Amino acid sequence: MQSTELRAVVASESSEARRLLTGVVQKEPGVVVVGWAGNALEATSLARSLRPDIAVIDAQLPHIMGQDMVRMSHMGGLDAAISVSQELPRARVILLGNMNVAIRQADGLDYAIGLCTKKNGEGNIPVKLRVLDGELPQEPGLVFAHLGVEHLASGRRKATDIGERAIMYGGLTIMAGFSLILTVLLAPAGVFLALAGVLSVVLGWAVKATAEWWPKPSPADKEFSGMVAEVVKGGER
Amino acid sequence: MRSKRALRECSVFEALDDTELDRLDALTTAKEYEAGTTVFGEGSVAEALYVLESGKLAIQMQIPMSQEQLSKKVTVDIVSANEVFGWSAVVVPYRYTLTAVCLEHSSVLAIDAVKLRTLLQDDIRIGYEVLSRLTGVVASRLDQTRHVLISERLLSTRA
Repeated sequence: MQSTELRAVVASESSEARRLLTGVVQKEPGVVVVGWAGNALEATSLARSLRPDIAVIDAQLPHIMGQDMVRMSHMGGLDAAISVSQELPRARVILLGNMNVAIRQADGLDYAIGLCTKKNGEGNIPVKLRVLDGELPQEPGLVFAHLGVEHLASGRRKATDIGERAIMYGGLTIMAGFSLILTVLLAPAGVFLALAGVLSVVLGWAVKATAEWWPKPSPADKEFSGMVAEVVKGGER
Repeated sequence: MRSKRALRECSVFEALDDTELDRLDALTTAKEYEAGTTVFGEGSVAEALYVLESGKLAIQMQIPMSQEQLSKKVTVDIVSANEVFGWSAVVVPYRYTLTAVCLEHSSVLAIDAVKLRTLLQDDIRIGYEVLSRLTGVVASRLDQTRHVLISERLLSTRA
């Protein structure tokens, strides 16, 4: 097992997806992304010139022009992956089948994302790029994988929940306070309640706003644990 | 039954009633394929017509290209859930014209080709309803193949 840096290229049509993939790939120590491609032809020519150890390719990759220009594009991922694995037999080529779905799923604050494979259709088994690289060359060196998305119980989510609850209960307290004020007899208590409600709403709003404005790390930067699937009987059911 | 429900959701069999779906269901085997598995290869004997229950498949065709080009296999269609593939099972000479590769873990229903052809011949109504819709699938795949190969690949050779 070599201790040198592993060089990777990533290929996906959107810059957002390429950024996310770069984060996912570079999360593993000793792996650095050296090239980015936006279509299948770019991916193969980049792999040919850079000769990376790893290529991570979105299956929904346009051949060359993108869906806006050519109907039924986005079919070039598998073609590019096969081509790169044939040209660079020592490289590990990872084809991702669910890039778009994963990006939609992780479009929130509290998600971690990682490269995974499935075992008999179950689980998110994390892919370790260095382990893949250490394996003997297989024919073909193509790994069919997906992006696993994990929900995280983060402090930000808790703070947002607390803020929303404070706003809701504050509003109810203000209404209760005004009801007491209308009775005249209990007006002093009503004023006190209404003021307490206003304070709760203000504090709740402040907590929620702080949680939302806090810097948001990319899902790719968060620790992804994955779930090892139980090995079940494969093949036909 | 799960396979019968999946058959009902497939547009090719939408005109069949419960009894007809039961007859079709009797010819069906549920199978699962890992991502990367080839379900069938171009030129092989068409032993089944398939319905994709879940997952995603790439339909590829072999094309003669020079070494500088992208690949000798080109993806011409992506099959999504509830779609039919492997229509060569009911069209002479009963050999697959394209290759089907799973992009994700896929659950499919395989309808035995020989028994299906017998059913389509024996029951004229089932035969007409299924074949007329299957013709639409064939036409759509041909259209997509033509579109992809002519426009995009032709342009790429100039790039």
